[in-house]
Amino acid sequence: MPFDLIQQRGRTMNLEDMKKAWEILDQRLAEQNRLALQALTDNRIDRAKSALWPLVIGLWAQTLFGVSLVVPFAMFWIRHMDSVHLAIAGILVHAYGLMMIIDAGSQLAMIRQIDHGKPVLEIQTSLAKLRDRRVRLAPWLYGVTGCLIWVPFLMVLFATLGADIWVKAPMVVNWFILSAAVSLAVLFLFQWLVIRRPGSWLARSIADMNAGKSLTKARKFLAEIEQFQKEEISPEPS
Amino acid sequence: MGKAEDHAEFLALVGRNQGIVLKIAHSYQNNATDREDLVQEILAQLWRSFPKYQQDRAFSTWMYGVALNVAISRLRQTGTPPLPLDADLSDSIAAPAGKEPDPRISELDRFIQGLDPLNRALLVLYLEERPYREIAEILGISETNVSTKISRLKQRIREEIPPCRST
Repeated sequence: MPFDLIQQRGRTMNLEDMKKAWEILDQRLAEQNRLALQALTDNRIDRAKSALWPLVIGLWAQTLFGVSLVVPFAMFWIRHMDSVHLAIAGILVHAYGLMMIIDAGSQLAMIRQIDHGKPVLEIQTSLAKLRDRRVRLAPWLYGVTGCLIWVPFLMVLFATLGADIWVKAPMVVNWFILSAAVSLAVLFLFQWLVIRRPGSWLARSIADMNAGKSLTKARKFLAEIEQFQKEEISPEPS
Repeated sequence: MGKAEDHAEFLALVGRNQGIVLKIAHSYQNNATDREDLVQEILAQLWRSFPKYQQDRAFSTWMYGVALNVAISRLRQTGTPPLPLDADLSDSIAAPAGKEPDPRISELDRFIQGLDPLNRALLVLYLEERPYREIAEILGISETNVSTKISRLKQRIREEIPPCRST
């Protein structure tokens, strides 16, 4: 019998002791439950933080790439101020490099401002803002410029090698511009489809692609915490 | 009321009373895995039964009824006598990190685990200080019967545990 057990252990309990023990048990179970949830939350937040590392590395690489464009192309257009088309081509690529640096710096600042010690909802909000920024700006910052920038880039490259194609082979430049225009048209077509049907598979795929895998993964870990917190008090509705 | 609103209301109500589920799971199962399984089973049954919950009854009373039914059925299915108490788990509750160990919790656990499923329910509700009328409603017996059974339980304690010093 349990009572015998209690006596054998040289301890005695009455109903009041039991009630007191029950109260303490209640508090400790609630505490244990809270700690278990906290442990899981910490684990997922750590994983969300780690998941952002590839994005951080990518943004630093983008910064370095931007610097590698800015310096030589600045030197190029300064040296070719006498030739308007070459100076403009150099300035365009220079500006493109600057834009890459500024954009990467601004995203790195947003990531730096994420306080992983804050409640999950706040971290999720910060990540959502970062994602929204990437999804909203990527088509214009990188899509449009990406379709066009290779034209002045090649003009500068050929000029550096001693061939000013704008002067010597204008047809080639025209063909470049035509190709850029076609890519731009395709990009606008996709954007038009995305804006027209924002919930479609295409829109979601493009948004995920622009947001990047790191951000999607980090948001997934935080969503797991949210889900777990719900499951802690309720099963999924059938 | 829509499904989403039902779910939100259910979450809020269960959230406020989740201690009931934790204590019942603790009282009816001896090891961590079985307790977690029982918590899940109780929550699933609560959700399935939620459409039948009548708002004129206290939610906690209804919750005790559903949770105890699941716990008792599960204990009967898995078969009594219960498994030996998981000493590590009991100790982790009795003496969590950074807190003074409380032998009363270990003793209470051992005592509860020695009771049959219905007396266990009776003791749990008594310790929760639910009124006899409510205990009767939850267990589906008369109030007089509750009073008699609790008197017997107290009598048993008095007989088997001599008048004692408090801990």
